[in-house]
Amino acid sequence: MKNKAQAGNITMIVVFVAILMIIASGIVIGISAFFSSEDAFRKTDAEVLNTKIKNCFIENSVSEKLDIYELCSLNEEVIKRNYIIEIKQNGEAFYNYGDTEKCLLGDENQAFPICSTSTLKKDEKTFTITTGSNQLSKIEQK
Amino acid sequence: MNKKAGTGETLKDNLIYLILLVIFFIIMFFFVLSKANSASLWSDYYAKELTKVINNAKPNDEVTLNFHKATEIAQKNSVPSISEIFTFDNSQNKLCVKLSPSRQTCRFYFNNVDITSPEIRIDISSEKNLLSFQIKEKTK
Repeated sequence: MKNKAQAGNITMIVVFVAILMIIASGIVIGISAFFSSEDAFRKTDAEVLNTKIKNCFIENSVSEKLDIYELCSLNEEVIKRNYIIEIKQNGEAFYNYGDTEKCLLGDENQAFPICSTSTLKKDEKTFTITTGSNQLSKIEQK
Repeated sequence: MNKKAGTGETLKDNLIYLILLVIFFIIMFFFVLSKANSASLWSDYYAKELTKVINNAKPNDEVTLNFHKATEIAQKNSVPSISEIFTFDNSQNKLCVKLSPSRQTCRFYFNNVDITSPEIRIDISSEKNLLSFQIKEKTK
């Protein structure tokens, strides 16, 4: 009878430890996902770029032959490596670098950009500015 | 007397669970603490914040940042020199933050500017270690 009780106790300890392990793995996965998430910053990054272009369009006269990098003081190399920009004037393509269709997948996959869209009315023209960022922090061994 | 013995028995039976629970909480506490104070987390944080500040800046702006937390972590991880914590590469529009001896976190800023005169001011007493730099128009 005593042996049976002891066996029951050991079984309960195993179950208890298993429950703790499940809780611990949940905490580890949750915390790791929280600290390594880049989504919030990619959204901020896209918004900062969007605001910069919008302010640049407000401050400068915008013509058909604009060099957006020169006009808005953007580094072409960095933009082409990590960002997308699509500008429409009255619904028609005005400037385009990158594929904004990718924005739809940004929330689920880090390889795709997270995007931000805004509209600006200037001189009876409506500009729709969409920017996206897929820049991730780079860890370098040094 | 019999009741007392019963209470003692119950306590003894549950003691192992209590010990396991305490060990579990201690491990989890230190895990969360180590994650929250890790060099990779804070170097990523500083790299992102600096990128955001630089991207929003205009030429001739001067930026000052309190990086006391970064110094604490760098010292704990034996980073040889405080001047190594932040590095700016104007040719690539890249900044790096190093809070552990062998690894650094880097990001690129799209604002086409140069970072000049980075300067570090250490004030241990007031817990204000300041990094300041100037934003200048890109030299071609």
